Amino acid sequence: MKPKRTAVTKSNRAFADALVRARAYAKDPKALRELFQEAVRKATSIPKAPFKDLWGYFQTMLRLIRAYYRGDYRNVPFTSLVMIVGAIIDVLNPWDLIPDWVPTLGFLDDATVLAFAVQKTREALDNFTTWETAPPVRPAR
Amino acid sequence: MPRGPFGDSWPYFQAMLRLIRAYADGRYGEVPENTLVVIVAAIVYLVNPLDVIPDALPALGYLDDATVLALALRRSRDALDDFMTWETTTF
Repeated sequence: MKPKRTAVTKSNRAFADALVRARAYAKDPKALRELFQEAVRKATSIPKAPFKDLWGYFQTMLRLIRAYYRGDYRNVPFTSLVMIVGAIIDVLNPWDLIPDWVPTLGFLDDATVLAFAVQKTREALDNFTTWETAPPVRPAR
Repeated sequence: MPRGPFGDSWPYFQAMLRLIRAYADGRYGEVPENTLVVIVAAIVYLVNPLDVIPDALPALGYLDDATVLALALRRSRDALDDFMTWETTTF
């Protein structure tokens, strides 16, 4: 599935840029690892409220990235991976359209991008969470 | 189980399952007992095919399950968010 240039990608240049960067990240496990660690560090200071139930999907994206760079889980289409990485970069990026330091509005913008990315990758994310809870294929830690 | 009726709360249902597993394994214990009860009750309801609206009914079968999940989520949301933060910060 090719990410379509819809209203969100067109109106949000930052997300379009994030997707371009995401393409390079997705091919490099080391870069993914650094992105994951940065995201985990920042996740504690991001207010969850604007993301509503999508917060669960954001956390799922982070776990998927970790499982991916570790090689535990690779069953995700490359285009979905790029979209997921792009969404994480966008949420972490303080320079998107409405800066995060503008109270509440900043994270609303990120929530819109996240909603768009979830809409495009929901199946890949749901498959991943199903894999997480299915014991037989889970490697021993 | 069809995911559609559960919408965006599907990852939280999966998080409930992982939390229960981590709790049973003794890896994670930072969940209030009444929240744990709410989570277990929701899972028991969802797993049971003979609930208010039998799951076999096309389209409608999982509406009650989605409602129960939404109710349980309202009471356990913070605990599940804490759990997922723990998941990304440990091991």
